[in-house]
Amino acid sequence: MTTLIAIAGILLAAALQARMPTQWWLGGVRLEFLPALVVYMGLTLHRQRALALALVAGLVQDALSAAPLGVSSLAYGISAVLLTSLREALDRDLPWVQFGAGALTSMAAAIMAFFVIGLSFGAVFKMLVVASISGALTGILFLMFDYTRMVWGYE
Amino acid sequence: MVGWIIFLGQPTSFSTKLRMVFVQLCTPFVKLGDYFPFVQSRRVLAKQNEELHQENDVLRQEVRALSETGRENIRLRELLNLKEHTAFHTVTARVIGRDSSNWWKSIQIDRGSNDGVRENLAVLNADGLIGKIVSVTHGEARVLLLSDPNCKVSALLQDTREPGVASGSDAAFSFSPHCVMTYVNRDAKVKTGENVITSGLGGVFPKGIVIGTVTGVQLNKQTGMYQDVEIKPAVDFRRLEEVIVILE
Repeated sequence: MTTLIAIAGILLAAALQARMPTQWWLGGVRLEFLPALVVYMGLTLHRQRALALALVAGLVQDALSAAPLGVSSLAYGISAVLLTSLREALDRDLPWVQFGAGALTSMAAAIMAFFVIGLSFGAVFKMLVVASISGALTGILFLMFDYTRMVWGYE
Repeated sequence: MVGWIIFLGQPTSFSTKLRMVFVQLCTPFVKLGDYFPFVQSRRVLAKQNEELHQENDVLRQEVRALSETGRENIRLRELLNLKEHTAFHTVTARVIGRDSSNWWKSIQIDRGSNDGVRENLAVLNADGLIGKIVSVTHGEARVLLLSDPNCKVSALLQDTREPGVASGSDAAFSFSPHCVMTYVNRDAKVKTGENVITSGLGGVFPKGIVIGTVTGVQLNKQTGMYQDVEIKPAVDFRRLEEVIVILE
């Protein structure tokens, strides 16, 4: 996977997040694709590249939001550093590892947001729902990307 | 890295320009969505059509009634020698994107500084107040919705004339967004169904724009010194397509 393809993927995922309506059947939450991408990059790419792309993903998400610039970037950056550091201990092919990493990355972004917007019971419940969905999306993304790499031999 | 991120979060010209660069990078991808409209079922469209027909009939009756009231208003103004209100200078914009995060509530519109849009301008539609502009690039702007807890509006209860501050509710997990009006006098007799409008104080939102209707009232749980009024917004924030920006 080249850096350019990764950046295009980040821009596309962020645009999709910004275009898709909230899902009533998920309690009015928005699907987030960027945490899944950050986890995939963190468990696949070299540390510097994964960190740089995670920071870009965070900045893009914040630019398409009313959030202060850098809030998501910090969360995704920390997540990328942790994932690349723990890569040896984690089996990236295990579905529960993918789910857990996706959910925790999404929760990291939510916790950063809570520093700005404040904490409430409803917000914590919403965070858990969003994290579960992001975890599931991470598994799907791994399945798709690993299959694509296997078929076309992308690196 | 933390220091760098904190620096970016400050409203400096550098962070504004950086945000502008990322917004301009993403906007072509966001606009791609125009080519893939979400398909709605025939039943939903038929129901929508029927509702619009009914609304149209009601509105036609109201226009007839208002045209007579308008003439009467002109006569009375002439009689009292009152100065006429200046009409707003506005620009219409199309909604091209929503907030990419679950934690803030905003929309992206296709008008920017090239069209005279700047920060802190009021945004509304035919139903009522939508929010205010928080960031602008040359061709796009971001609108912080009234349903976001960070969007504070100086408000007025239309019948009781009690002032307060309306903002989005922090009940983050809800199917339909709602707002709350705080700092309402604890002795005020607020009625359910009463309209809430902008008060014009603060200089951002002009006076008299409909915010919503009162759905509930309770004494503030923390201090007990004032009332919290629950508001159902007049605007359906999930179905915004076109908006009006008040330029001056």
